[in-house]
Amino acid sequence: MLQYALKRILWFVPILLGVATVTFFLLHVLPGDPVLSMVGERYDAATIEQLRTQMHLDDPLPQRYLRYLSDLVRLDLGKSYITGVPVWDSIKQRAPHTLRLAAAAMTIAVVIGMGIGVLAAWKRGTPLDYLMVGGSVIGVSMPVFWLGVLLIYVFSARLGLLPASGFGDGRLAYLILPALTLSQASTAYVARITRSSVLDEVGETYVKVARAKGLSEPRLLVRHALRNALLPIITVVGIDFGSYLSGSVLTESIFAWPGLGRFTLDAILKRDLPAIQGSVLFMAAAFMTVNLAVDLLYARVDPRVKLGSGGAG
Amino acid sequence: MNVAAATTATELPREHTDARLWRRLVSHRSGLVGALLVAGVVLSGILVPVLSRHDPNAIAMDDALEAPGSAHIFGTDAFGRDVATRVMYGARFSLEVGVVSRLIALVIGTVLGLLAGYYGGRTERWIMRLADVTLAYPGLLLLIAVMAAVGPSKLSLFVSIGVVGWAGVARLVRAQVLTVKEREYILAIRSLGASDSTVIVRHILPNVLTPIIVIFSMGLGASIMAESSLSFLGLGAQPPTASWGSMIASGIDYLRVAPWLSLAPGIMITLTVLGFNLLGDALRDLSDPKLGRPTRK
Repeated sequence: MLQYALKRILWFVPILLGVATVTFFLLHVLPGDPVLSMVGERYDAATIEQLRTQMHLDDPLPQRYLRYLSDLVRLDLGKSYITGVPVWDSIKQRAPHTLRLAAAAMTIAVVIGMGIGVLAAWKRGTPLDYLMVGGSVIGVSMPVFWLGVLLIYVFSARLGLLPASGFGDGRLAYLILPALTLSQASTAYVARITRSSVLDEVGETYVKVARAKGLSEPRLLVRHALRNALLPIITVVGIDFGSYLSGSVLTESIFAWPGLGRFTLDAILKRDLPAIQGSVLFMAAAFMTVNLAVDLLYARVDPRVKLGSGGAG
Repeated sequence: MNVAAATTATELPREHTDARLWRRLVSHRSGLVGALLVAGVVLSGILVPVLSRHDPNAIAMDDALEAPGSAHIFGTDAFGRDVATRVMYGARFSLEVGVVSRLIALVIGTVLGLLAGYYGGRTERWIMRLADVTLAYPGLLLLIAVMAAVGPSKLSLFVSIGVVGWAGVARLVRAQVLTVKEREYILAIRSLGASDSTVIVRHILPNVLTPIIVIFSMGLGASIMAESSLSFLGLGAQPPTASWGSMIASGIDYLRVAPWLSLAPGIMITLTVLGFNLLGDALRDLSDPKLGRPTRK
C-alpha cells in the first residue's frame, strides 16, 4: 500500500507539470493583454512598454515558459500583477477560508445526506421515500448559484434570520448559507448513494440473519447495512471534493466569501497571470491529493479492494 | 405486391425495436418524466415566437417590475420585458449551446477514445494522460479561464464547453473499445486483411454507438449547467440576449421587490437539467445496465 501511495504521488509530478503547462500556454497564447487590464486605458504607451519589459512580457514564449518552470521548481509562484503580493501568501491566507467552507459543506452533506438515505431506505416504498428520492434527484439538477440566491431570498430577504453575504470575522451565522449552498449537490448525491447501497446490503444473508435474531430495523440498517455501504459513500464524498472547488467559485462570489474560489475568479477576470497559474495549480494539487486519500481510505475500509491494478492519476 | 412485401419485411424489425424501446421508455416512469420535461423545454424554445406576442428585448419602462399576473405570467423585469418570453428564449439559447458543445465534446472524445482503445501502447498512454490532465482541472475554472481569455460569445461557449468535455467521453469510448476489440468477429475481420480504418469505422464504431448516445444525453444537463453558470458570472451570454444564468444574476439586485426575476429562470434550469438527467439515466438503464456511471464534474 505504501508502495502504491508513493507511485501515485510520483505521478503527481507529471500531471501537475501538465496542468502548469496547459495553463501557461492557454493564458499566454489566447488574446488579452494583462498590462492593459492592469493599468486600464489611461496610461500612455511608454508606461505600458516599460511595464511590459519589467514583467518580461516581451520575452519570447519559450524563454518565459522556462523561467516560469524554474521558478515553480523553487516553489516560487510569482507575485500578483495587480497587488504585488506574492501569490503563495495570498493562497495561504485564503485557502483556510475555503477549507472551512468545504469542511462545513462536507459535514452537512455526510450527516444530512446519510440521514436522508437511511431514512428513505428504512421507509422504502412509502410516500416519504418517494419524496426524499424525488427531492435528491431535483437537488442534483439545481444550479448551485440559484440555490444560493434562493436561500438568500428566503432566510435573509424574507425572514431576516441570517446575513446575506460576507465573512463576518468568521462568525458561524455567516457560514450557514454558503455551506448549505455548497453542500447541495453532494447532499443529494450522498442521499441517493446511501439509500441504494443500504438497500443492496439488505438483501445479503448477514442482514437477514441479524433480522432473524430480532434486531430492530433502524438499528439493523445503521449498524450493519450502512457500515458495509460506507465504501461507495466515501468515494462519492471524495469525488465531490472536486465539485467543492468548482462550486466554491460560484458560492464564494454569491456570498462575498473571501476564499480561494473568489480569488481565482477575480484573478481570471483581471488577467492576473501569476495569480491564476498559482491558484489553478494549487487546486489541481489539492484535488489529486484528496483523490489519492480517498483511494487509500477505500483500501482500508474494504480489504477486498486491491490497489495498484488500475491506472495512476 | 412483392416489392411492397419485401420493404415491409426489411423494415419491420426496425420499427419493431423502435416501438419496443419507446414502450420500455414509457414504462420506465422516471425516464418518461424526463422525456416529457425535455420535450416541454424544446417545444417552448421552438414555439416561443408563436406562444408569446412579446418581443424578448423590447424595452418598455412603463411596465417595469410588474408582478406576475394575467398580462405577464412571470411578471416583467427592470426594463419592462416579459420574463416568461425571455425564459423561453433562454431555453433556445441554452439548448443551442448545450447541443452544439456536447457534439464537439463527443466528436473529439470519440475520435481520441477510438484511437486510444484500438491502438493501445504509446498512443493510448498519451491520450489518456491528456485526459487525466483535463480532468485534474476543476472543470468550471478551466471554462472561466478560457471564456475570460477569448471573450464571451456564443461561439466561445460552444467551443470551450465542448473542448473541456472531451475527456470523460474519451475514457468511456476507450473502455468500450477495449471490450469490443477482442471479440472474435473483429479478429476475424482483421485476419481477412481489413485495414485499421475499416475496422475502426465500420465495425468498432457501430458497436460503441449506444453508449455514446447515452453519454450525449447524460452530458447535456451538465453542459447546460455550465452555460448558465458562465452566464451567471457574466462570462456567457451578453445583454440583451436572454439566458437563464444572466437573468438570475441581474435579478439578484431586485430580490426583495421582484423575486420572480431570479426564481423563474432558476426553475427552468432545474427542470431542464432534471429532464436530461432522468432521460439519460433511463437510456443508460435501457441500453446497458452494466454501463458505469460517468464521472461528474
